[in-house]
Amino acid sequence: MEVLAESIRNLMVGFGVALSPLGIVFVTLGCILGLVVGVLPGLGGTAGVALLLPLSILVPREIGIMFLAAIYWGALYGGVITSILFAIPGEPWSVALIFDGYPMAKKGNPGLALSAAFFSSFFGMVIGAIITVLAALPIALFALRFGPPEMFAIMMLAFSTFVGLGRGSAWKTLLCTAFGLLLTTVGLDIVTGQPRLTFGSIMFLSGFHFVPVTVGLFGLGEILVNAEERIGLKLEKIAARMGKKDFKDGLLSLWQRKWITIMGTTLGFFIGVLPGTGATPASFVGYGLAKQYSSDPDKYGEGTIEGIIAPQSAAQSAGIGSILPLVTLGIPGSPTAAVLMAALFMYGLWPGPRMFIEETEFVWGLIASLFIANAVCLIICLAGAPALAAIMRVPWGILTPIIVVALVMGGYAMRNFMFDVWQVFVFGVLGYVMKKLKYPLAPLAVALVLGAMTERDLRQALIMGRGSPAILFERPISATVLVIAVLLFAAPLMKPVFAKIRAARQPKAS
Amino acid sequence: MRTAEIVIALTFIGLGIVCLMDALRLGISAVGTNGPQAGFIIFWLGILQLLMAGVIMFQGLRRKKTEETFFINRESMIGAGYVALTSGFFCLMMQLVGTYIAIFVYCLVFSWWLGKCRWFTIIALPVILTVAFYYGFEQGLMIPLPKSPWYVLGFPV
Repeated sequence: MEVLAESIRNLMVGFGVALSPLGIVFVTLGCILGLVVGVLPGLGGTAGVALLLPLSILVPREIGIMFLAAIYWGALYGGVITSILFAIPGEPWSVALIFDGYPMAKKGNPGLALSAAFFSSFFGMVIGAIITVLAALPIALFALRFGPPEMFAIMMLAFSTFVGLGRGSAWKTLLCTAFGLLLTTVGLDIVTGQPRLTFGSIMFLSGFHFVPVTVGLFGLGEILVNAEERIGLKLEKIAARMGKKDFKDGLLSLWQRKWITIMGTTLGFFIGVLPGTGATPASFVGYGLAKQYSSDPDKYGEGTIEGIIAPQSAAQSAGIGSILPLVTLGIPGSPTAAVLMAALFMYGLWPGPRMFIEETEFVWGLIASLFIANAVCLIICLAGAPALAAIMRVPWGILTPIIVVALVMGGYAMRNFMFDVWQVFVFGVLGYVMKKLKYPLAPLAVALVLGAMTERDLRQALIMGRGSPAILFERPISATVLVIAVLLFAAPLMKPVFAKIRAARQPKAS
Repeated sequence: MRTAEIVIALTFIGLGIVCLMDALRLGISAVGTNGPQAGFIIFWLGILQLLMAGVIMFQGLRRKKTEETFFINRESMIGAGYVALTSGFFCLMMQLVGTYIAIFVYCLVFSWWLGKCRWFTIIALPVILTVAFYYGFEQGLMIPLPKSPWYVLGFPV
């Protein structure tokens, strides 16, 4: 009870920061930019936040992080518009919305489809933010007991969730994780000061920076994928106008299906907390479960409102969920949360339980801004959906050079370093090839952010254990977490075994 | 698709070997004067990368040749190839002739050649973007962008 009271007190402090004039201006600006980023098919939320990192240093850091987070929330909302109106997901987490959102819009109900999706997003985010408020402080207080072995074990758990819970090839996931971690070791060693993997090059001494690599992988890589299809050229004209009746019907439909909203939101939040997942799988799981437990599953795919509410509330709540481990443990729950974590490093903060306890205004300002950004996004979407939809009609030949120049400049601006410009290009091409070959980029981005911390914690743990890794298994928390991580790492190897057992049982059952 | 898979796996194998060589130079022991030596983590990550890339390459070699190709068709290859080429060209120009000339030429070429835009757009886009980035970065964010070699001789950009 005492913890709850302190959480509410801290939240009020946070609201004081978030509701300052500068806070409101930058949260609104972040939401608008995020919505634009979410609408544009060539620029995802991850690249969008990375690109706009330099802008956040113009303001105090507590406002800067709210601004960056607002871009993420805006991007979560923005994908709705393109998915429903044009069947083009602005973001990967909006793909599940197409299944029912687009058919509904084509049937002549685009206003209702949009308003139901926006209100689902709103409730998904509000409930997610409430869970964050309730859970954050107890988790941070518990995590304060963690030493280097426990923190290293948690990092391993973060990486293992990508392998154990990811959908693609486990080999590729592990390869991407190793590659991301190796990239963080390029440059001067933090302990001995020796140059590592630099091969005598002065450029490599400064290492690979997170922003140009992310902007290249997620930004330029996506632009190249889109260039194959030149998406902007094949749009159907569906009006994005919404009237009062649509707002009312949207709210009413949400109320009538409140259990689907609650199920999607709760499920989405807990999926979002897991580092290997994020909003995209949450939206698919939300959609799949709603369909599975529906009394009439055949109506899914034909333009049913449940098929909009379930994935959208889950995706939005997962986005909020990814913030919880970031602020309490220093583990990003998604690639976009990883970019937010990079911003924390930029502000001179070391994310984790100590930051959560010591930087009250900063952390609780961010949590309070979740509520404000959500309300701002809802208002802008309800009022300005036609204007946002119009962005999609800007010709490909105009939009692409603007985005490419912005990506390269965003990569350069972090360190004013020409080497970073080439990083954007090289990782852009690499990101494109890896996407085509189904290499998961999320573990690479998370490894890039967590690399330095993982190495530091491992080295400290080994110093504590006098060079013996046995220390990791001697302490109860780190041992438990590491065992779970090992099981998750081993999960893909067990899949064929389980499949064989299932196959062997099936004929007997039939 | 099979060839691309093998080529990328081979690239990662090559990078893994390079990492291992540097790790051995730095020392890979877990017990050094300041804890584990500088090459310790690089060594184990390099091993992991080599193993994973090896498995992927093995899978690629075992996979039968199918009709699935890396590019959907010739047009998609040309679309992605041209955008990659012009992006690389932009980065090179930025290094050689500075940001503003690079933005101007890149936007002009892109909107005319790939975008097939109208003449008004072809002229307006480079001008607007160059001015916007000058005010946004140099004036707003106070970030000096790379200039041309002639800047020191009095050329404005």
